[in-house]
Amino acid sequence: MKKVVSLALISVFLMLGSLLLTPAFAAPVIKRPMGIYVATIEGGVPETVDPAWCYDTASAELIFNVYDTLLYFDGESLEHFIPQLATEYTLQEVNWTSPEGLFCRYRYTFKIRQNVNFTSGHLLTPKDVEYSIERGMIQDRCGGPQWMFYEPLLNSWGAEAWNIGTATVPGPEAELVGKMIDHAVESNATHVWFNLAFPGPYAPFLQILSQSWSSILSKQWVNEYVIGTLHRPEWPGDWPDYTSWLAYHDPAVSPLDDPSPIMCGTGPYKLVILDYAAKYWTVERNVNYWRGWPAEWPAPPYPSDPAKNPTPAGYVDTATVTWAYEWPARSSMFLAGDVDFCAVPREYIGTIVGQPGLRCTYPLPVLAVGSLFFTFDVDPATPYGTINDYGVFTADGIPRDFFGNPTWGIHTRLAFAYAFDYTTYLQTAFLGEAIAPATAIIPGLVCYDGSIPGYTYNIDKAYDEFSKVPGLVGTGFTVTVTYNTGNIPRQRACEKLKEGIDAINAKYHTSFVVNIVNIDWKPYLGAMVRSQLATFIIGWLADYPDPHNFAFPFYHSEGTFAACQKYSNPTMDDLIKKGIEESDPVKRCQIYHDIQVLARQETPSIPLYQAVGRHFERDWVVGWHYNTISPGIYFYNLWKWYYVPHSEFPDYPPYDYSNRLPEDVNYDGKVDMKDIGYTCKSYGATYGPPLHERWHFRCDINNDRKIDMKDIGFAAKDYGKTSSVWAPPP
Amino acid sequence: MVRKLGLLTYVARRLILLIPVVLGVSMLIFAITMCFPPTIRALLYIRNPQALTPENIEGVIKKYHLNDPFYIQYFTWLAQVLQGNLGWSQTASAPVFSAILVRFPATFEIIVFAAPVIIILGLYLGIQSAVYKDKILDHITRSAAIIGWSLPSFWFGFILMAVFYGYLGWLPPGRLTREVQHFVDSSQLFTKYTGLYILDGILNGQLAVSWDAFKHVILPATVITVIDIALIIRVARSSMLEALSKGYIITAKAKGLTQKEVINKHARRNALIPVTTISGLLVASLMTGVVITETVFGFGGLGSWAAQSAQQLDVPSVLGFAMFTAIVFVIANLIVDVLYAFIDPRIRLA
Repeated sequence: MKKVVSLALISVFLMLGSLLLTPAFAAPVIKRPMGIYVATIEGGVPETVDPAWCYDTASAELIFNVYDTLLYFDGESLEHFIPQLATEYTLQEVNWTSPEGLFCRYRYTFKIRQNVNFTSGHLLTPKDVEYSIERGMIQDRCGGPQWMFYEPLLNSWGAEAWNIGTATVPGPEAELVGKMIDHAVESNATHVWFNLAFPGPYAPFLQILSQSWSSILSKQWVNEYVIGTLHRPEWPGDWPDYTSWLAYHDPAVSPLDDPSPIMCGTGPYKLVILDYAAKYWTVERNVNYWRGWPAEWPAPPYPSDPAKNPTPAGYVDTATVTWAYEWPARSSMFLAGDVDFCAVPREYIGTIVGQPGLRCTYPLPVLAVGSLFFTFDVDPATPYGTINDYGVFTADGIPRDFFGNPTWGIHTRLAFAYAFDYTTYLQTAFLGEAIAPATAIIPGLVCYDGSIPGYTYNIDKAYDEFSKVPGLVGTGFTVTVTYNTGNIPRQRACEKLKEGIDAINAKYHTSFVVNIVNIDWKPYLGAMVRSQLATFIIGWLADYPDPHNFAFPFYHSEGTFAACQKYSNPTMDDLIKKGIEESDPVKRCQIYHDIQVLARQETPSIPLYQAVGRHFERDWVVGWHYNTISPGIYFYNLWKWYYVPHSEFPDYPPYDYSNRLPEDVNYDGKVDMKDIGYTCKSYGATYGPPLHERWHFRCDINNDRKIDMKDIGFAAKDYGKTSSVWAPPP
Repeated sequence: MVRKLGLLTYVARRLILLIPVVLGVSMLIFAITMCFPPTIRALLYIRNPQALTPENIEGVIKKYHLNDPFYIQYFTWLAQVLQGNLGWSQTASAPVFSAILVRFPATFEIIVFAAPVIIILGLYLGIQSAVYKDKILDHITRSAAIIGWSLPSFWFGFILMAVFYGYLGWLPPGRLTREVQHFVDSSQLFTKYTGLYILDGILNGQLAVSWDAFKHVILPATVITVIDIALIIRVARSSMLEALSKGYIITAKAKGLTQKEVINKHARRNALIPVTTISGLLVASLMTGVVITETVFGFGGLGSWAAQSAQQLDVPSVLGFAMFTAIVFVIANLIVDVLYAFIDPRIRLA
């Protein structure tokens, strides 16, 4: 009897073990030839659908696909643009003074494209452009992107730079600000012009106009539908007086989001659904899109070279982005071919690279940095941890000025900086494919100063710094460190910080406690803006490739992060203002050097990682390209191989083969027996129609629409070759 | 004096008893919230997360008497709860009540398929195991039960997904495939009557939806079944063994009854009581969330939401979920008590 039982048990274990040893995922045929499915990290919910409100990548991805801007990035270029809703532009030195006395030296004038319709049916006019930009400046929500319009147009950081008061009690300068906004953007029947109060041509202005916050809404749609039908409190676009705009300034929530998200753009796709409970959004093709399907791009008279424009040869009808799946389900769907684009945590890339049918584009330069931020004055109403009054230490919480006390706050910040093991973290969370910059002015930006020393891990120094805070060591503290749900590198960073603090406790018998909390993206951003996160980890993707775009949000008292942190240093503010105004490159870099030195001394935040990018997609997706500062996926450029065989469109190579090995069927960087094996597996398959069930276009190495001995021969001929593009992690 | 009660009276009496039990549970839950400062408890009354400014929170503290004695706060809160306002769930970006309503059907749909199999098959195998004690069937059943119970659900789920989705392409993760989800959410041809997609598909005449939902339910239900059936098998086996050792069974056998008659008429019914108790608790605990299984399969039910809420210190969601759990358990106990009365007529006596 025992033998029987033993045999049964052994059989079961062998069966289960064999399942683990067998590669379960075979290369699938193309699924959904006319649809794209993107699986991003769980918790990656768009914060908003309002372009004026949007200042995060998850929202920008949706907005870019539904709305158009005046200009758009030309492929991978950061300096060249293709015309979208504007057909041409000029920059003039006008030396014009507005009626309220604002001196404007330069003016950008844009001719607006004609015969473009919004999905609501309304015709695009220059008034819509004027309305959209002015609406954003009026809204100017706390922590939003509008500082990028205030700076060039009004030479300030936001409406709060003046005494504007409130909607019920307008301040003495409310009228002045209203007039300045009104006159900053003007339009006539054909053109829109921007009057720049900034003392210079403001080089990043075109890049700012190419981003999601510059998307164009229909003024008529807002008035007829948003205000007229839905009765939402939205600015109608009129100036009956110059103080009523305050009613629409810095609202608690965007009228385009609350109570339900609504969108109406001129873009290539229309929003079908944004379901927060089911965790996905879907857009469908705008069949009347003014650029057409497949696109026939207008020959731009400026500044782009039409020959370089990536011209889509196909399209997809629908695109869905979901954040419902954690890694196990997400990876299964990716491997099975149900997901076309997948967010792959760095530590799991070993399970993905080299799998048949998957493409990993690597290395991608990244102008982004993830940092640990300290809030200098935490809102005690926070649900994330106990916050005591100023200077009051307890073991179960922290004082609200724990990181920001003018006398000893620097010591707690430095102590945390010393308590983080950067080397181990970068190795484990990024497999060594990242660096920890010293400040937010990261490598890749002009005026980056590599001589500024970075932070190091040293728990003795960390303890010394804690000891300099009166009453802290004896009492202890409990601090909550937060990150956005699903972001595994940030989760690992929190864990690494906790490990460092625990190491101090073990060595010096202190009672310092770090609690780790993850929050979904939308409430995470909300809590950050309300200064309710004592410490938080978040990333910054460049809006434009200039050190000012990092110095301002990180270190200026009105900056996106610094304002949420309540960090303020007049010397730093002054340096940042000088930095953007200085046109001499040498002098400018000296200013940014001073900013970096001061930032290192003050440590309002700790840069944790600047990682090399990796992009994962099914290899039947065609048309994706990478732009360092453009967030998300732009579906208009995409189609699937199934839809348009590339042999039929020789003029439009689907992607650049020059650095790749066509024989490297499984994209693992080398041609070996696996590639020959995969090709053999598909032997005899043809493209069709109908598509053969074992067809896999990567195995059709010579692109003759059938997989035969020639393909196997090609693979065998290049056996042993390696790709210069793919480099496995160390 | 002992008085016989009818079944309906018995149920009615238990239902009335339900009210003080739920009130007691709610009071306990609310008392726990008193550990938090008023600023955090204010979240229980806010419907819009954007309203979390210090000024608004001060207003909420005053409006809902959050600095007043416990009993005043409790009744103020209870009034809100009775109106369906359990606060705002930051995790779900929705009111807690609707978050539960939206997610419960997903969990329920899995349990509807898993629970009957767990109970009926578990009972059958447990009884057979006891009847054929120390025979091959007993050994195999017990071994399988132990293996099932020992399997980590995330590992087992992933293996099943690799085979039945990755390799065979039959049973995908999630609750619906993308196109069907899109149809269900946005088509005017589909009404979500119950939130149970299999049932709703039938009610809408959209059998493709039902079939798709069914395909998605199979794997999570299987994981739960394989893991949890062990408990029922073990309990059924031991209670059956106990019943089989009783004197009346020996008497029945001595009377010349067949093995089948002895088991079906005399032993099985007595063995059912502990199984019913365990089944009630098991189903109730499954209904309040199967966290890991839902997470592995991306099923989006109550369990994954509750776990996420706890991780994110989402106090209103956690409290709302606790209330829901308490109510489910109270109802489950009531059902179990009613079943007792069916199984054993003596229990109908007060």
